[in-house]
Amino acid sequence: MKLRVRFSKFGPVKFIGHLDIMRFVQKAIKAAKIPVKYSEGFSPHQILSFAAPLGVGVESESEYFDMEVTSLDGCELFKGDLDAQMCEGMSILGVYLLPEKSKNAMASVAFASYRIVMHREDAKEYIGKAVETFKNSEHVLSYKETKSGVQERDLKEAVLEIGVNSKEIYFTVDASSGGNLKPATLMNALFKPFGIELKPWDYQIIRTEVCRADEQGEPVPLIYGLEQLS
Amino acid sequence: MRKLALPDEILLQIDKPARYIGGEKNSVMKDKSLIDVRFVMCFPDLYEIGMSHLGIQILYDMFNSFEDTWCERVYSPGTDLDAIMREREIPLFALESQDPVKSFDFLGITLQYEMCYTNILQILDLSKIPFDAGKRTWDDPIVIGGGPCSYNPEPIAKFFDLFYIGEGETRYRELLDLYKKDRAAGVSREEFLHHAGQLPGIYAPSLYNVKYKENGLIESFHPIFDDVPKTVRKEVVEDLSKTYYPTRPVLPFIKATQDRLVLEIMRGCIRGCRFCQAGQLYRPIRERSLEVLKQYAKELIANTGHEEICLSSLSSSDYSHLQELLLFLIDECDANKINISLPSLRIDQFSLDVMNKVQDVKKTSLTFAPEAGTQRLRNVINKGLTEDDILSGSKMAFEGGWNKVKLYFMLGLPTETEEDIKGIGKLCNEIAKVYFDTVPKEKRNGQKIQITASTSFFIPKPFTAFQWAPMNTQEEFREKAYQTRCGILETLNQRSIKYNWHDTDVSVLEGVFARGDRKIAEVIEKAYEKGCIFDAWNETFHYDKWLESFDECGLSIDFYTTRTREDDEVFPWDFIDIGVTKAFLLREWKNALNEKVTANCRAQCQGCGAASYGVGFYCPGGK
Ligand code: SF4
Repeated sequence: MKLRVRFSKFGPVKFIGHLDIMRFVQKAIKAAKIPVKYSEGFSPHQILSFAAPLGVGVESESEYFDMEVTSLDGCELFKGDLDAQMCEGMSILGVYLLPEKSKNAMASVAFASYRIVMHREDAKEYIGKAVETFKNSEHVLSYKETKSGVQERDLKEAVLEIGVNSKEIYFTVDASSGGNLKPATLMNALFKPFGIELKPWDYQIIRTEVCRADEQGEPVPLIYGLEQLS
Repeated sequence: MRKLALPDEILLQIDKPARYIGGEKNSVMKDKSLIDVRFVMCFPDLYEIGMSHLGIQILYDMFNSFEDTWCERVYSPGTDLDAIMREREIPLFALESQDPVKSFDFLGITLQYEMCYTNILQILDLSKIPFDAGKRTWDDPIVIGGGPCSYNPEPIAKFFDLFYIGEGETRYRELLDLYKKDRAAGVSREEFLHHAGQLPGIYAPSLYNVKYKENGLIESFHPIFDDVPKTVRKEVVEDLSKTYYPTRPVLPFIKATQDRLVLEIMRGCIRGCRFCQAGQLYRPIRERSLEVLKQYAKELIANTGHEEICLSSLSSSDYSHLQELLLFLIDECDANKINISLPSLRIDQFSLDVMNKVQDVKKTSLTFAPEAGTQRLRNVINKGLTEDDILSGSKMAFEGGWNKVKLYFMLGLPTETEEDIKGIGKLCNEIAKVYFDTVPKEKRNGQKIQITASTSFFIPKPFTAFQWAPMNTQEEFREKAYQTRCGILETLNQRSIKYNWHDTDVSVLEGVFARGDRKIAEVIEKAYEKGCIFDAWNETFHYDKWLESFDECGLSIDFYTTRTREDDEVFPWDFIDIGVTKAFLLREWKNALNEKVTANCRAQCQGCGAASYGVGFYCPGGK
């Protein structure tokens, strides 16, 4: 049986990278005595799949991983048991049953939503204008250096939604394995027209949701339609 | 949520910011307003290294079990953060509260290896605590050292207010109580140190005066007050089954160098190898009861969810219930999907069976530590491992499917000759021969025998039989490493043998610090000022700067390393009483020179002196 677990990550733990969070979660699952399934062999490991990796420095209201379990006995306690094994800044928000045939968390990710808290004073006054300008442009080109030369990308194609809400910028962007748009890339593009070069520490990125695409190709949270166990 | 000492801007630009944020699972937070004593425990090396150390976890657990005390941790900032902290004048802070180290009552520094001495100065410097203990005020924490290097604290005595000599579990409560009492009474810092220096196990360097002879040797070492003891006796835990144990260890987010649960099964060692300092320091031998260990193992596994556990002791094969313990662990770990990482066990049928169960035979290697290439030299160092043990052990292992063997040797041991060095290659060659004789071609499955011989350079350490021995010069070391390599190349099976050795510069310094006196402090300070730090790391080690520093201080390296000590020389560490007597060590030094073997504690007590603690497992009158 497969379960999908939703968790949040705030505060100092935002500096813990993806691989370390994975190791942390593995220990937590073991300590919580969840009947997780292990691989065979000399060093058995848990069968886990994490959704989209979160960059160092980014906080999140909604992260996901899938785990395979050997039994659902006591599954109404899984959330509480796992949450008791978390550290400062990490909370388990829910445990959901994943139908057998579903794609795993990593393969399902298509979009991600973010909100941005701007710390830099001189950039704050441009928040509204930056988003307006982006919305009104036909193309917003961004350039990335790769091994095979400079790659051009039209960010308009990767951004599904963007707006401002109580002084925070929010947006939903492509997060698929082939087309993942880093929030920092979009932020740089938003403020470039105003001569503002943002540094990663000038603003706080908070991921608000990780989504798959529904039948119409629209973003829905990774737990959309799943039965919540605890 | 806690506010971090470093802004995001810095944390996002340095390597491994996780080193500096605290908040790990099982790290302890307390309400400052309810705390009387704030203690910060420092391992003066990078976080990943310090977090691998059991001793700190034990003390962290102990201090935090005291309701009036909050113990936090601090490690050496990496060189990238170090530069930023200096430039912006950010004071060094403790991980849990993120408060400046300087604001604490105590700064405890564990001294695990000599090559961390400049890192101690980095810690003090970044904390804005004066290097010179005599210049500190009540605005500075009491700086207290402990751990193996505190058994010769003299080279760094100047930088410390106090040293705790021995196992930390026994006397800290008294020290903290004294501190609370003295602070409430408003006594001066000097007075407090004077009081502390009278507690058992506590050494306050400022209370002692050293006089030197013209030739640089110590003439006398005396307390300056009548009520301060002449010798400081090592503290030992009487019953290892009834003391503190961190069954809820702090779990680092980033991978520690030793990323596993640790079950300490005993302290001390029955073996009496003459080069080994730990073997003497931790006498008498004390075992933890099997029942207690089983309980600890269960709790550790349940509390952490860790995927690996290991046993810790100086010689696990000598633990009297090893078989039962391992069989229990195998079941327990199998049920919980946990790996057991085995200590290097003496190779016999039992240990091979155990290894077979918990490891992939194809991937793991057998480990032997003959330390010397010939039986003669092994007798000199009292290493009770014979060529026959090694060859028959290897044969058994090869039959069981192993084909990798690692061997550890030392170069520069007292009385070493060319023949001993050649013996290293010969021994490796014999092992290869055993493989080819034991495993017929058709059974090798295309596998080859892989023998790895590693040599380190022998450094005489205080409180060993070899504390009188001259250390080799660098030229001798290099020549010997070269001879070892040639010796291996001359053997028939040289293609199956790989040889590893390290450079010698660091060994020379380690040799100086190990047997150094108070004069060395100036050299350490000079070298630090010239930029020496993280001396244990190749990239950051600058031998030339050290040589300059010795020169400028007018001190000779050879005086500390290559000089032969007279039998009656007064050593800088003689004021410490570890139970094992100097007379016993001298007898062992003579036995060594006569190539005479001494039996181990289990076979026959040798009257080393450690029985005086009354708690040794094998000692007459012990437990
Ligand atoms: S007193 Fe005897 S048994 Fe005890 S540690 Fe010393 S030599 Fe070993």
